[in-house]
Amino acid sequence: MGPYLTILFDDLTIMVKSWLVWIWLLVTTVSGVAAVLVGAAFTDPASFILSWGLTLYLALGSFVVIVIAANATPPEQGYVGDAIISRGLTPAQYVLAKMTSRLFTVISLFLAVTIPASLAMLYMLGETNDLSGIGITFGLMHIAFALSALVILTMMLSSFFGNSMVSSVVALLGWYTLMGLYALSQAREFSPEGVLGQLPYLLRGSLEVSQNILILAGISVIILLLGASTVYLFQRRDI
Amino acid sequence: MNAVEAIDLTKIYDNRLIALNRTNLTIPKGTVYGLIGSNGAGKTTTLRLILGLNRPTAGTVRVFEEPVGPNSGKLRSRMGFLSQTGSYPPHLNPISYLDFIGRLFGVPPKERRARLSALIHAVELLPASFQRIETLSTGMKTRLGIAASLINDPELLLWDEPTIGLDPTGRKYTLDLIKALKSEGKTIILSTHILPDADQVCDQIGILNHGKLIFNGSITEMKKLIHRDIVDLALHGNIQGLLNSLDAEEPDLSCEQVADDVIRVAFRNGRSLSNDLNRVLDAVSRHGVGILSIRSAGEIEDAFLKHLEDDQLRGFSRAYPDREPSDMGFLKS
Repeated sequence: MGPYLTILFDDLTIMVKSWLVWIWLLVTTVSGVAAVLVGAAFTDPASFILSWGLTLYLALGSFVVIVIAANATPPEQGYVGDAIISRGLTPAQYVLAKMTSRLFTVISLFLAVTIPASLAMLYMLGETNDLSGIGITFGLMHIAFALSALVILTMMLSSFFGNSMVSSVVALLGWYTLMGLYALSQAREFSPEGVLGQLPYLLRGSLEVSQNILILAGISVIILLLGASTVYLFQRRDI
Repeated sequence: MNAVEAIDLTKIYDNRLIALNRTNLTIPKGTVYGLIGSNGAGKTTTLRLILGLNRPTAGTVRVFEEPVGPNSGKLRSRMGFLSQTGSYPPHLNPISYLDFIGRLFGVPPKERRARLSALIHAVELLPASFQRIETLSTGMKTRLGIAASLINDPELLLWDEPTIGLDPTGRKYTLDLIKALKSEGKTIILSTHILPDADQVCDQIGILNHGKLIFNGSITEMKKLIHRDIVDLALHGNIQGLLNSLDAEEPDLSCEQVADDVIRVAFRNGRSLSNDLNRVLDAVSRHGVGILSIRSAGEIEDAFLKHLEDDQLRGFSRAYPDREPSDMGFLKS
């Protein structure tokens, strides 16, 4: 097993043992079940309820994601170099392995709850079900890509500042400001329905597939650029 | 072939601290090289630059004739590093830590298990093998670090303060281990400020002072600077009478009592040490004083301090060419 995989599996073990991961999984699972029950009990369309669920996941989950990503590379000066990189690694191998592990954790946590909840709404709800399979697929992909961008952005800030606390605060301020501005720009009106923007339409399947693929490709390019910057910044530091 | 070659190596940190200043260093393969100096002299920075963990501000380092930098992962896999900071993943125990390090180095599983078992026995950590690292004592962590630095069977070892925190048995074991590793042909760079340790095991010494390499050579060359020999005699009996007698009969010797039962005898330069020592021993015998032990005292420490003092004087002369070195006191006030 090479150094990249060793770091990757070691970090995944750390994630599996993390109390933050388990608490977040518990909270989101309970919320997912609640969302399905609300969908069954009320007459609101499923696309509206699932949109709210996903929006809340993005809003509240961003905080957890930032904490997970900011602590990927330990903040102690010299620790990473002395304990890890000195053992035959390159900084790029180390930071890429950490990035993969944290991305895998964040996306797994997201999909582990949202896929069963979406499928339950798709197949269990009766008259109120207005969801479509392709709509759900693209809806989940949009949120997953946004979370991925947040993971990489936070790790880039962590590489830049070399301090997990500072990078967390900057990421929180920056990300929530961006989300707020985006929500306002998309809102047709300042109402619960309004701030959901195009998400309910997307989940219903009222979408241009090619346009959505283009948006996702654009986010992928941003993620790749952020990832490359993270590696570059990490390599520039004294480790 | 040189194991390490540094040319004009300079490191200035972001806070403008000059940690290393135009240092030139050549360490042949198979040498035990002692990097000595006070705290903050630049020893750890030198080791980190050789490992490629820090980027030099100027100059170059070559290890096994290849340039070193942050991306020299392959080259680092031929080195073993013992860090002074004791940086270990706190969630692991000694067994899982050594296994983790072995996997990082890409040591095949069978070989890894065999080395792990041998090393954990050798550093006497078997009883604590499944204890979390954060609960180990300083000495145990140092021994774990030594084992970790050997798991990849490296050609070049960089040990930062390997005897710190060790009890006398652990210290002796470590020094014996260095001698054994040297006999296997390994190159060892030892950063320490415990000078008798360096005296025991090093072939070559480099003295760092405020980031400058002020001496680079063999221990013998280093000691040549102080042209005198000093011997400590531990005695029992009428020590004061002996001292009075030596003062009167041997004006060439300088004798002082340094402890209740120890006198320090400094012999004059350029005379036969064996003759002078025989005269002292005769005097001891005549006064009916018993000898508990005889040992050479303070040589390497004195040589080290002398080099630091000379470096300070050179700096003084450059800064204040019109003043005498005896005026140096004004700098301290």
